[in-house]
Amino acid sequence: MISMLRTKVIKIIILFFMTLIIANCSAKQSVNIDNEKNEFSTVLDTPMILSDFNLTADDGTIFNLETLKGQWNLLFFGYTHCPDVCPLTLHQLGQAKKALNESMQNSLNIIMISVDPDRDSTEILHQYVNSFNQKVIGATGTINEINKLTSQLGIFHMANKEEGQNYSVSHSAAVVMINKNAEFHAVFSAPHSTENFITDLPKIMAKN
Amino acid sequence: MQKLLPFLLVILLCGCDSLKSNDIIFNDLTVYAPRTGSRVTAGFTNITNKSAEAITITSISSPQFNIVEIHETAIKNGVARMMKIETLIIPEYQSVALKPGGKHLMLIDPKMSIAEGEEINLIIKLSSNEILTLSTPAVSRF
Repeated sequence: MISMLRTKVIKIIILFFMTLIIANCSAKQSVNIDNEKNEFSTVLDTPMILSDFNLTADDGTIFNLETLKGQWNLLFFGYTHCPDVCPLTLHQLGQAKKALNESMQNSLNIIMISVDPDRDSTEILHQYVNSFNQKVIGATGTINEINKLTSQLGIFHMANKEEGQNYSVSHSAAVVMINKNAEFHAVFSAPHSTENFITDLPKIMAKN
Repeated sequence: MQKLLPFLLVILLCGCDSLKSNDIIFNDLTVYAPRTGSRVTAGFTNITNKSAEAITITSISSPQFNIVEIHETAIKNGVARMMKIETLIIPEYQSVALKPGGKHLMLIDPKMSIAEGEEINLIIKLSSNEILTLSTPAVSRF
């Protein structure tokens, strides 16, 4: 009982900080709309340095902060039992990547972090991400390690296990952009569309 | 092409003078083959009620899946959450869209491996106890 209460309190605290970060980003967006003409994303005035975390990629290799360095990364947080928003968003990201020039395509990773590690083993995640036309990297880990990353990015997630075996997972639908220095650089808020990504990604990547 | 056609609707059990076969139309029915590694998939359709009375769908089942539910995805404050809808009401002379990012069919735990092109059957029960059956080939998503 105490454990459940503690979990709920932690979730409320995470939600609170997520709201603060989103509110902060929104405040910055008004600046960026004027200065950078990004229509569908919020670019942080100063990219945010991230602390390390320890996840496992779908191919079994280590996935941590170092893994993100040297490439642009679009991070989406979802789960393989998600029938709607997750495959749709990953598809939109894949289509948008395909529309970029070759150089940008080669320097951009699409990554799905599963926030449902109880059901999403790296093997299942591997099958899932490989079912998309465009390359998607999957990663997951313990809830503690996932939270090390999500708490820094303002990403909320909560497994609704009271629904039983086929529980859903509530999760932020935002797409987070991590730059080549593995810093939190920008965020695309839902609802998404392929066109939105195509419009803003080149602007963000070209300026850095 | 198949999406352009109203789908075959069979009333197996009909309450005499109530629902007529053309009173409820399921257009653009699409059921996706489950993605590799996933035990769930989604289905979408546009349901039109051409009758003068509201129609209520109380349950849906499928021989190919252990569970079929109607869910609604809602994105509130940037957080996506799926909620189960117990009954779906289609008001008189109106349509309800089951579409990506909104209400949709949630097909859970396939009883067998389902590849693209394999037939998916849906058994739809109405509050009037009438039962409708729909059929469509599974399509691959993206």
